[in-house]
Amino acid sequence: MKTEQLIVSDPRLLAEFIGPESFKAVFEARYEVPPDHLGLLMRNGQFVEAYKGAHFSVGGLFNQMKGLIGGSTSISVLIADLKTFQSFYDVVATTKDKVDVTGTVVLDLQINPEKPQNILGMMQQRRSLTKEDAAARIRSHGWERVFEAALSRVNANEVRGNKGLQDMMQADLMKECERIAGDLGLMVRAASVNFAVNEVEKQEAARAAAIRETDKLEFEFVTLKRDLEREHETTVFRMNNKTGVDKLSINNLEDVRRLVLDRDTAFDDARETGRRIAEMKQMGHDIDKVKAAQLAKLEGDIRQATHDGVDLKVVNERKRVIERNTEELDRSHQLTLRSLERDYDRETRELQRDERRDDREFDREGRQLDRTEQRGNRLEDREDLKTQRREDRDYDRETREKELGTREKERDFGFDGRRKEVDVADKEEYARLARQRETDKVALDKLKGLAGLEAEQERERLTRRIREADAAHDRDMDQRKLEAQREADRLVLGAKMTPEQILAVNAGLSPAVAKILEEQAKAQGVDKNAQMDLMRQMVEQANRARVSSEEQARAMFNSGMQGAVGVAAGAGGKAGAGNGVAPGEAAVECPKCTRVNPAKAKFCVGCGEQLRR
Amino acid sequence: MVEPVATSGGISPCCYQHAVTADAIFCGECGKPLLRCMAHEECGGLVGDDGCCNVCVRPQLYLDKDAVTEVKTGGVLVLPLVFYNASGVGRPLFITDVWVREGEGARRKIELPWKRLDAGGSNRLNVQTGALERQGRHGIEITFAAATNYFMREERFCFTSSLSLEVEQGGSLVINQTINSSGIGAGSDTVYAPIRLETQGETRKAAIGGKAAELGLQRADNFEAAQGIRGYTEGPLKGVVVSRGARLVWKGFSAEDAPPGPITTRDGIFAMGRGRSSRAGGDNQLQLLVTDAAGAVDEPLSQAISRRHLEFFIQGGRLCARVTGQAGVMIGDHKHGADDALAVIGNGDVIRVLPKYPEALTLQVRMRANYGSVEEITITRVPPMQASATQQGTPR
Repeated sequence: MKTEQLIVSDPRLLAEFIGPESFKAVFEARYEVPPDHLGLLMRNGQFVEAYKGAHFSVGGLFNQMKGLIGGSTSISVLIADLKTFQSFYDVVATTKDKVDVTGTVVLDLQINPEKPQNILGMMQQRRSLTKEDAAARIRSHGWERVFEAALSRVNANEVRGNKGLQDMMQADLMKECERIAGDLGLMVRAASVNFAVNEVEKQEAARAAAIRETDKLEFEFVTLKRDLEREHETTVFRMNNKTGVDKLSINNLEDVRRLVLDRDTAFDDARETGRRIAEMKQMGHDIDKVKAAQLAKLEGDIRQATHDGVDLKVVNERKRVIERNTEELDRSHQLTLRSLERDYDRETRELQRDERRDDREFDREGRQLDRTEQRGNRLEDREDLKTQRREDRDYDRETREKELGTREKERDFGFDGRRKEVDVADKEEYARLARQRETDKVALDKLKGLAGLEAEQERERLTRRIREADAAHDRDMDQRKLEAQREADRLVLGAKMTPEQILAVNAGLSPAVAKILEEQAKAQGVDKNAQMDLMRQMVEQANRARVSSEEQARAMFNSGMQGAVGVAAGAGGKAGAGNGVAPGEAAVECPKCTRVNPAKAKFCVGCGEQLRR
Repeated sequence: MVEPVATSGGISPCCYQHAVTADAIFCGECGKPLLRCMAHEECGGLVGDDGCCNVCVRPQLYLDKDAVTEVKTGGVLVLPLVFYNASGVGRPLFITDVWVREGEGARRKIELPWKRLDAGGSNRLNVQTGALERQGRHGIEITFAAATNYFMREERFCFTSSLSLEVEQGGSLVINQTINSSGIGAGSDTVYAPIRLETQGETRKAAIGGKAAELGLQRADNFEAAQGIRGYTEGPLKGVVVSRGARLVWKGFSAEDAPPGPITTRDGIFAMGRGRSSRAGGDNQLQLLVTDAAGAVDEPLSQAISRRHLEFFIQGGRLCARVTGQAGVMIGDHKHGADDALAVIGNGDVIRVLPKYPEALTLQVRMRANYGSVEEITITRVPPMQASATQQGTPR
């Protein structure tokens, strides 16, 4: 017999009734409830049994017979899904720092397997119950009590990954569900909220991204810097300014003025020093040039002098010639000596040969005499003859020896003479060379003396020029310092000057004169304008009179200025009271505008017309 | 004394001497027109064509003694600057803007915590450079704008100074070398011997000696025109500067009443109105009267012109007008009353002296620019004045 499985007809349903009409059959039908479903069998309006993973049979002949006997029964079955199901819905809650946080709630719900029949309390019309309907019963109650209550305790940036918050919300949600639907057979197995990114988190993310970017740039910068440091560890920048380094300390006004003066002086000094360095270089160049010229001249003179035989090369060459000649003479002398010795030996040998021949002739004659004496008894004659011959022979020998000695002496004398001649010639040559050397030395010293004298003169001339330049520089620097001092004084005074004094100083008058003029203007002027007008007139007068000292200014007032000033003051100090012409001063009228100008004026101060050339 | 400010126009002492005479217009010695500073009453100074008074405007720039002159590669440099007002006549200066330019880069504006610089006073300003990441010569240009005020008028001038950072080899160089030494029977040893080569030269810091140094200043006239500090900033005359000595050529007036020439009054203001001209004993430089077609003076309309109705002066390299008349003045399409203190007049502007009667008396302005400078301004009176008009009775 085939078994029919009883499950909910739609996966979205949580529980469903299967009515009695579904179980009407002629034959017995067998039904099965799978283990993940619950089957509640109701007979005649009463729960009979709850089946989990069971099966039962309905109908059949036996039951029909039984119904005929005992009456029919109404059977229906409630099928409920026991598996957990999830429900999703969005919530919006406000955090502690008043930021709306959106999240998706995930609820894991399940029919309570312990009392599944209570699910009937949630079913409408006893037909079916959807999962959505079951979850909706909890949603509205959990919103305010759970989510709002939990999120209001934390800030917006604390919701992410907050396990405690999730646990608390789950516990609260389970408690609420137990309170709301616990007796209805519905239970919460798990709950969690997946929060969307809120504004604070977006800002923090942006900030974190910016920080990361900054860190990245910083890291790149540090890396680059380290690379640069490694690469240019020895590189140092130095700073110059175009004007040079002029110093001053600016603690107060006086320091500034003093340092302005120092700076200008130092600047001028530096500029003058630079110019003088250039001059010194030029002078050094001139000295080198003169020295080179003198050396060239000296060399030329020496070269000229060598034409007179002073050149050492020539001397040495001559010396070598003399030595060569001497050697040749020595060599010829040796040859001659050897020749003489050979002649002497030959002559000696000839003499010895002659002597031996004479001895032999003497012996032979003696023997002949002996034989004769023997023959003719003439022994004595023979002895006499022998003695005579011996004497003759001795005489000849002595004579020869004398001749030989004479020849030897003559030969020796000739050799010594020649040697003496050579020595004399050498000595003469040496003496001549020494004299020549001495002469050359004197000439050289004379040339050197002349060159040195000229160089000394040139050096003295340059030294004199340097001294003159130094003196001029010192004078110039003194003048500049004086001008700088005046300018500094003018600056110092200018800060304390009145407009009247500044007017006079700008017009070229000294501060002392300006002060006198101002005193007079204040003494005689009625008001400020009148004082300034008077001041202008007085400055004009002072300029014309070339007043340069306080005494001259006072003298000017004592003499001619009183009249003009008095007239001007009497006229109320109106500008233009005078045309810039002092009383008694020569004046000329402009032909164009008829303005009266001083006679020395080249142009009319009123219209610019040229008055004279 | 080294002048920190370029002598403007080469003003000679003779001009200063003749400028003492209050009504002198030309120098009796050299014949040049005497262009007085707007604050001549206080400073007694003269100006050149650029309008800069050396008596009033004497700024000086110093590099303070604390200046660090050495920096390694990748470092930055702080320039302690000292601005000093060397004016000897007690005229304050106003440093309005400071720019710094490094190398060929763009100028960077520095925020100034102060502005006023009294005569003889000094203010400090620290300027930080960017990272110096390459070796070689680095140029730094410091430009600032200085203003001088006198009543309602103001003149601004720019000055610039250049510094250079010069790189020199120095510092210490570390060379790591490895020496392998080996001997017979003794095995071999490796010796790491780092060598430090000291090649650092003498430091510039010692040479400075702890004192400040003055930086040479130069007028930045091109920068002034480019930035609109001086000269016109728009229109066909953009970048053009009106010379302080520009000639005003008057057409439609009698030659006796309005001779051509620069503005040579003591305050540098050319006044016009119904009142008599200075030649006739009045306070104006030019008398404005309305005449009819026959050349006769229209007294009712002329009465509508104030005694001192309009003032011309050259300020900031521009021709400016100040309306002093009660009836106001229409310049172009805009009416300027007495409250509108200042109006800039450009080339082609038409000045209607009486706005209610726009055709009664108008002044047409024409300017001629040569090489960025306007040397002549032609002002035409419409309708032209008849020669007999001034001879008739005129309202006072």
